[in-house]
Amino acid sequence: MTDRPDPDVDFDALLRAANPVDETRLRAPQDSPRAQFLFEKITGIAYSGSSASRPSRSKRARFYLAGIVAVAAAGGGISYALSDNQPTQQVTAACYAADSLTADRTVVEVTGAGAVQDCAAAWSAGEIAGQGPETPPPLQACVLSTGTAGVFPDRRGDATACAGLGLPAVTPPPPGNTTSPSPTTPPSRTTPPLATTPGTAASPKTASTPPSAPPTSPVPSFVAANATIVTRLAASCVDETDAKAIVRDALDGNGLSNWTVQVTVPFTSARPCASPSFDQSTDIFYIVPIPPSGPQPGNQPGG
Amino acid sequence: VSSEDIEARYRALFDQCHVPVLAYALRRAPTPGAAEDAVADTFLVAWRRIGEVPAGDGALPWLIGVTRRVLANSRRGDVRRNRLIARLRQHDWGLDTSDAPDEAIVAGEQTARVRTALARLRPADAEILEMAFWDGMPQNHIAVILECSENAAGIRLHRARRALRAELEKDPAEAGHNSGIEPAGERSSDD
Repeated sequence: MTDRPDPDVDFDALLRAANPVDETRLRAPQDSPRAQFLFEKITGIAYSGSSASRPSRSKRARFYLAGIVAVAAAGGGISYALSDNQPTQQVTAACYAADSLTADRTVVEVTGAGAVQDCAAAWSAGEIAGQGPETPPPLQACVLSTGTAGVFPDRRGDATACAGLGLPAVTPPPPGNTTSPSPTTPPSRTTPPLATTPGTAASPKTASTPPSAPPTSPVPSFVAANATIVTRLAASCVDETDAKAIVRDALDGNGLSNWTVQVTVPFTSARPCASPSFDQSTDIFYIVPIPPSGPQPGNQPGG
Repeated sequence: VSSEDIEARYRALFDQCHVPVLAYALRRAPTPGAAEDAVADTFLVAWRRIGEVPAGDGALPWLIGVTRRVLANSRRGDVRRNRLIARLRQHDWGLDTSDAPDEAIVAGEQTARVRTALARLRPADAEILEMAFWDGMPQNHIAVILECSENAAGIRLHRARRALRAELEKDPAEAGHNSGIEPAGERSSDD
């Protein structure tokens, strides 16, 4: 007996067949949360894939980029009070294509204009899944069970979309910080949507939660720590050393000594300012180097 | 060049090359985790040196060259052990995917013989064969990675094929192995 290769077998085919890894079965970054997380850790930039099938509630989605947080803080988004009628996660919002929790949705950054305005802009830009550019319908912001704002078409225009879904409506912010939709003159969007996710039976947590589920209670200690950090890091360009101290102090001061602080990538002259982000699944607070908010001194990434 | 342009370029590079770089690393690293570490190091280097990454088709061999050096550095301390573990793990992956990305492990008697024969070759011969037939690299890419001329790469590939064929034609007993992994430690992974 022999286990030698058949001499008639094509040598090259035999060699290829011994390949230990089938590359075609590896996931492309668009479909790989691990790859996306790597991208974000290296660059400090959200992996804003364009794939419509990209999951929106992956570990990656919990890695909130603090540049966005800083923008929200500077623009007033952080001024939301903490209550059952306010999102506890104010970095992103989910724009639903229909008044259903299982409808297609697009995740956008929340700017100072507010979730409703941001979603209205996404409607106008044709970024809502399955929709072309169109005048946004009346919209209403609700608090999803995850604490994120979900913005739904309010087809009847009587602010009943949230009630119809069993969700609390987001309380309008104080005067001077209006988020009333302006269907005919939506604000222009300067950032693309973070993700677009079709609503399916296997939808992530946000969409599959029964409408009657109550909103998640905020975790005061973390919210307080995060608010402190965001406020302090957004106030000026804070370097790495000071940022570490600020984050550590804020975490410890709010009973979160078990959290660790990590710097995602080295600070450079092009990215000298600290910006916070966090991953609640691992209790890690990240410090992300970003360019100054003013004119940028350089364009070269990395060190 | 604006920072947005750089970020867009890096994003395109990442999207296009992550899978082939990961596959390259998985084929050679002792564990899937080590492969992912090598991929992370590779793309961190690329981010820091984005201005040096060739445009177009030249990007992938540049990245693979980085991965190759990263892997060589990581295993330099214990070449024999790592190579043996690598061969063993390649068989394990099909059973335990808890720490592995999606990959397929091709088994079979002839496959095991080919892998064993590869493990008995000179490292340089095995490496160039693996690049050509596993990674699917064209000769010009191999030349970039090995830092030689395209002609030299072609000659090395020809010699390596001949060496493998001779190894496969040996009697198993003569080749001195039974399990298909025993001789693996004889290979040095460093050129």
